[in-house]
Amino acid sequence: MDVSVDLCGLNLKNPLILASGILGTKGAVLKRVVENGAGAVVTKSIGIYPRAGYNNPTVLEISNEIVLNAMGLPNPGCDAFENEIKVAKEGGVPVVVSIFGGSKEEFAQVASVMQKAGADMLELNFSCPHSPKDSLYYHLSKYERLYVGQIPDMALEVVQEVKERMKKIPVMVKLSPNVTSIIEIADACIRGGADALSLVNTFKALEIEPWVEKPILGNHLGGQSGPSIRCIAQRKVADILVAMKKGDIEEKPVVGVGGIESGEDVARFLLLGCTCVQIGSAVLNHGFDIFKKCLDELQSYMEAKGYNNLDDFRGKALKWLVNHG
Amino acid sequence: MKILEIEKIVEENEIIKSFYFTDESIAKAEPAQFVMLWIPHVVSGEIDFEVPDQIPMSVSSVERDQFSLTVRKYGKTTAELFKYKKGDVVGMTGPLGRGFTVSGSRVLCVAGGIGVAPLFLLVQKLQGRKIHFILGATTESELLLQEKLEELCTSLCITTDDGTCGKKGFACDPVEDLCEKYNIDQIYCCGPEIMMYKVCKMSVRQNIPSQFSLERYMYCGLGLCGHCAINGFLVCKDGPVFTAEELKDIKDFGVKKVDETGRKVDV
Repeated sequence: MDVSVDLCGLNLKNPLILASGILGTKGAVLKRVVENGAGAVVTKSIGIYPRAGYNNPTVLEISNEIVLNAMGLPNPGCDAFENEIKVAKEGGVPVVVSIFGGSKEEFAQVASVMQKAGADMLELNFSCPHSPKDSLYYHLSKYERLYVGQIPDMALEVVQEVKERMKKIPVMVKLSPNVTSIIEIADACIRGGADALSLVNTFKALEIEPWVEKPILGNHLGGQSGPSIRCIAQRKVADILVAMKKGDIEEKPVVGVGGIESGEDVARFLLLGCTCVQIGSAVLNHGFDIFKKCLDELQSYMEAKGYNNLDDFRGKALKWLVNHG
Repeated sequence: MKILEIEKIVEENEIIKSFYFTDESIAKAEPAQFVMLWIPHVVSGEIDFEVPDQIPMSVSSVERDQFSLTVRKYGKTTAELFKYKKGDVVGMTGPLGRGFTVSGSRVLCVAGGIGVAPLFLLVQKLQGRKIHFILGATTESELLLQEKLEELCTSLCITTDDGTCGKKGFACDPVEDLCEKYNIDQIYCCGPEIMMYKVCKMSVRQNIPSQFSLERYMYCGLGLCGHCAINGFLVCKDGPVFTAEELKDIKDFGVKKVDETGRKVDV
């Protein structure tokens, strides 16, 4: 049975990718994720300067289904991260570096440092505030602030700027689901030159402690992930894939992300037409073993269905949505 | 996260207090397992994004369903906790991580500073065995739990950096002699990393099994974010306790740690 995948010219031995933000600050830990079966890994988001995260609590396990986080993009800065990429690459699978910036110039600069350091692909984290002083949105309070990924023109410009510098490696954009039309944003990114899309990032969320009478997260505001978001993520992914199928937007590989914790969940996203998937919050309940578990379960599923490779069933469920009337 | 009421506060000395709570599952904590303690800043009543609300804290004693956290006033977060009174509430997630494994019949515990807290819980679990304890502190006034340890241990050796009490020097200094004198077959250690590094070297040289409780800057505490990693191991999940055998492969032990951004800095 062949579960390998081609993602923008990169060969993945299986479609399971470690999602950004999870276990991704150290090369040695990423290597361990690879040893446990991941087909590729995405690093924690890296910016231009070293940056401390928000105050704890930064991650909350609200229930088995709900994880809340507000990490605040802690990272050592792109220069200090170069060596971690080298170590991670010893694992022998593609290393995707997630990057963020406060402006398109910052994005582009981090991108070029990461390309030089050996990144196999970039993932642009657009769920970070767009902060240049000349921005239309600069006056907004922290509570109201917009992400790059919520402003189509801005998203397009950032992808363009990065793509101009990235001649050698593909660029994927991780989309935020916190938008009116995810298709509009996807279209802007693709027109800007994105080689692939990954979605979804976390949903804006908040938790209040009723006895203490205040938000629990150190940053008060955060994002929700975990199995509770899987069906919503599937809908967002389907929206994009249907639009691609209908020719409304250009076809590009789509990487499904959101609440995946079993082989059947992986199959669900592949059946919609995803090229591969990312796994993140499931590490909380399953540890490093999640990749082997999902791979074993995916292979059992394929065996039972009589599939020899992922193309045998990829996109099979999409027809019900394309012809929805 | 559970919300628990402070049932009792014991002032161990000027800068150290023990806070007592009741919770069935946290009271089952192994020594050196920890909780993520949420101190929600409602006492001062201000929104202050400068001060972390949550810190990892090891359990220092258990008795049936009651347990205690022994806290040293160190930074802004612990200073906030020191304003709390009996009846106030805090949040807790845990117990988390891998604690000390009880083994050996003639054990040596080596504690530096507040590192005594998890070892104090261990001593309670080790009752019935020969327990030799080295209690180290910078100065006499920072010595902690001395009387209780005298009661629970076979022998107690005190060291202070400035020589104001016991032997002048560090907690690791008497280790080699005591291992020989008492024919020690297991070492447990918690304290400053340089001290633990020295004890680790000695234990390997003398071929005595040993366990160490490490500390690293922690965000999630749940094995998810990976920030507390040390050479591929997660301190919050694989640790905080590591054996000398495991530490052989952990090159950054005693040498490098990461700051809150993830940059490597000297221990």
